[in-house]
Amino acid sequence: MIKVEHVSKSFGKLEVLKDVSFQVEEGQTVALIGSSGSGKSTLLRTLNLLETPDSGDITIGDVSFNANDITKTTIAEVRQRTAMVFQRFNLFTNKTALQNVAEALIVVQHKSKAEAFDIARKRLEDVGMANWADHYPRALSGGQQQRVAIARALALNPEYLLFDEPTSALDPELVGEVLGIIQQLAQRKKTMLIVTHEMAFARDVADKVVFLDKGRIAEEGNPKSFFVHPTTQRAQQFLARFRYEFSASSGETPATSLGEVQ
Amino acid sequence: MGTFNPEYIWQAFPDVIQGIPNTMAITLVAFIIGSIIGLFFALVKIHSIPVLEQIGAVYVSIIRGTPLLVQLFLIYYGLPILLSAINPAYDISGIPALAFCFVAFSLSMGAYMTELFRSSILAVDDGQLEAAHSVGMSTSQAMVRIILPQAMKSAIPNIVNQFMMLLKNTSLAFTAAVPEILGQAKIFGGRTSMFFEGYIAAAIVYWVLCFILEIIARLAERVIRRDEIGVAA
Repeated sequence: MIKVEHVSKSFGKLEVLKDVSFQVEEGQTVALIGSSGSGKSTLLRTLNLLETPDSGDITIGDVSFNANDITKTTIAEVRQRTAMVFQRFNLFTNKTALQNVAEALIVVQHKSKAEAFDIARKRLEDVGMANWADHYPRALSGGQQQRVAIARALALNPEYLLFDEPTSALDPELVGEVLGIIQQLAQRKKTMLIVTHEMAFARDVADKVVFLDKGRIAEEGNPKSFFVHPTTQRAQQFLARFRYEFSASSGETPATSLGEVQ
Repeated sequence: MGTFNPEYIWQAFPDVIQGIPNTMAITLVAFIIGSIIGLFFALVKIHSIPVLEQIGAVYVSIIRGTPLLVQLFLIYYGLPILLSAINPAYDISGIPALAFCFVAFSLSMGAYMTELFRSSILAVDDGQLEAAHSVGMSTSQAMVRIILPQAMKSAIPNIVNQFMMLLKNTSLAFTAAVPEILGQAKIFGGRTSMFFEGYIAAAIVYWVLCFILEIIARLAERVIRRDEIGVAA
């Protein structure tokens, strides 16, 4: 379980997260949505301590910590239990696909090279990249790089997978291959928190949607009801912008539009 | 004197070549120690380590703000004074002139390498360190395995540049009584009065050394840039 309680974070004078609390249950896929600058990426990054929260409590599985008491051990324990997939993939450019996946297994988990590469090959197979094992990131498309990045995250066998806008940097025709893999992981009941702008994907795959607005959680709930009947005005306005996407992807349209709200 | 006799260029070579060991010794020692100093202060500056950061800033400023020849004189005359002040019993005359050159050229190289390494480390995308952290690597593990190999790749052309400047700057070592390539040419000139021919021989030797260096650098760069080809061999 991931539990976030009263977490706040500022960058200088800019308050990015204001008293945020929410929870991800075991086996759940939770979509974190909201406009750019709403704080969703920052929130995700506090969960593996790439950003340090200013206040609040966070629980990652069996590790709990307060924002004012973060030690090196805390950071190591949190990162052992989580793995992150970045918007811009961030594959190590000086390593092949296989080496990217095996790197932390060797350096952090101290597995033998043979075992690490064995695991790495299996994870590359899981994401359909086994034939590209010896390619450097430069020789891979964005979608392929992101699949390798997912394999790198999976190889660590983390309890929780964190995705930071995993398809936002991809060409439209490459989005599907990455979302397909995430969907498979959801079906296998991996516990995942996904920051995304793909509303149709969030609706179809997530067990819960958390809508962040200006650093606060404005609304959260079951995606079926959230996308059809959002209760807050901010969520209604936000979803209205995605109306076209919904009508294109299925017959269902969200009940609101800017016109009705006003 | 006054006439140019190309034959003497040929005759100067055996003398001039005898300077190569001293030239290469100063170049290699200063390059290695200078690189270590440079990497150290680059990391100090990037991680804003107090006290050391300020020391590094003053060091880089002084070295870059004074001529290498002046630094060489200051160390050649100043270091013995400093050493005898620390320990009056120390036999200063026992220190070979080459040692002063090692110190002066290493300090000079270190300052330039500091800025060179710093800029190439900063040029590596932040996402690389974040990714390394996210999979559980420590900052030093990330530095050694991910950041520095990438930084070195972009640094190579500049490192080669610095190395060549260093190699040629070692011609100043003769002022500290070290008979390197140019020193040997001067000695040849003094003996035969054929200074011009001796200097031409020295120029040719410097150029050939740099040419060999260019070839080595090109091969090294090809190995280090292999990930741009796309597929591991």
